[in-house]
Amino acid sequence: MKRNVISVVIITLLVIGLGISVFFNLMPTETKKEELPTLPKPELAEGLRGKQFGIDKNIDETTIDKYLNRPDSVYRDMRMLKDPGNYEAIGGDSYLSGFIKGFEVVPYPLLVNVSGLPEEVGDSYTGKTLYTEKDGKYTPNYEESLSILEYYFPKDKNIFLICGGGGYAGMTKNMLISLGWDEDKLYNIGGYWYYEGDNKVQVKREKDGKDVYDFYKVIYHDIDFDNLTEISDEE
Amino acid sequence: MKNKKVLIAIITIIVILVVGLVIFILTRPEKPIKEDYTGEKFTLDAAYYNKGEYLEKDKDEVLKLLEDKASFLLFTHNDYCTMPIPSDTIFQKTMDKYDIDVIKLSFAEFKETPLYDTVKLAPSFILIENGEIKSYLRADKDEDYDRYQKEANFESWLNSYVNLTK
Repeated sequence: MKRNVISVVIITLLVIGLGISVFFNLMPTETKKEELPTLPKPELAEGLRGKQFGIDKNIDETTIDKYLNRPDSVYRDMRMLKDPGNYEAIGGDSYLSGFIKGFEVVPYPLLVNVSGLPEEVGDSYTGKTLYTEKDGKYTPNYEESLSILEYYFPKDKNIFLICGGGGYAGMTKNMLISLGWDEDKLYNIGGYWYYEGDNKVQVKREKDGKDVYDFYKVIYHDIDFDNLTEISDEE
Repeated sequence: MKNKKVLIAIITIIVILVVGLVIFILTRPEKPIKEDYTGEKFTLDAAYYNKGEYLEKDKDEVLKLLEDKASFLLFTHNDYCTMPIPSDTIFQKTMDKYDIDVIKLSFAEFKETPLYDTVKLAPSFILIENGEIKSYLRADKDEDYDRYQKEANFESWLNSYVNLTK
């Protein structure tokens, strides 16, 4: 009798164990990942936007909200927090007044020398840069220049670029393509000035009749040039 | 003798044809300029047939003009990180030619006017008749690209809508 009870208990335990095993084996080991919608291939917009700035036709200020928060992508805003150029002279704002949630700021003027700005604006940032551009050729100024670029703009990800009007973003795209990035992963989505979506993060606000800027909201990537190894001209 | 006359006549005709062809090739327009508007032109308010200058205005001044049903030309430009687009200098050449003043408004201010309901991108050149938009250049349209970039195309487009002289 006692032996029968033990046998029944053992068999019951075995059946329960088997059941649990089958149950967990049939369950997926991790929650099924949501399929990411396929990105349209980069394609230039019509007119001035495409031809002058290289802004994308399919993913731009009006559609970017559909493509935010993708793990296969990075989002970069190419403006400075405060650009030394006198943009007020052309009715603009030298400060970064807002951005799209998810975009991190990597200022284009720290990557390469900026040229060709309107005369009234004067010089933009004229300090140290990772690269020097001359006649469309980009020469590194530091041994770490390429590694830093690859860190900010990982080659295995889609890269969404924006700035104020589309200019710095277009210049960044040209630079990366010139340095070997896959142009099918680079999207210049245009300018924050034209964005009216649901992911605005306001930086500029008014306090006591004056404009103040909440830059603490911005994820800002600075470059500490003093810690980099300069490439001398003799090399 | 008769054959000689015939020969001279043939050579003369060939020379005339060749000369005509050369003149045609040398004088034909490089590329026909598309004029997309053939309706009735409008005249700007008299004050704008003046010096061929850009007049810097703020949004309140432009709102007043719209309220007063004024007829004028407006250039709205983008700023900050943009590359210099020579479109304002292209427009300037036509303005100089006809001494027409154009109102200039930054895009930031422009966005706070009802004009922004229609014109969503800068830079743009906007024709306003009696306080309403008659036409404007679109930065996202191929057909307007040459109008931003080439003086003759801009002038032709403007001339199709606006009386360039009083």
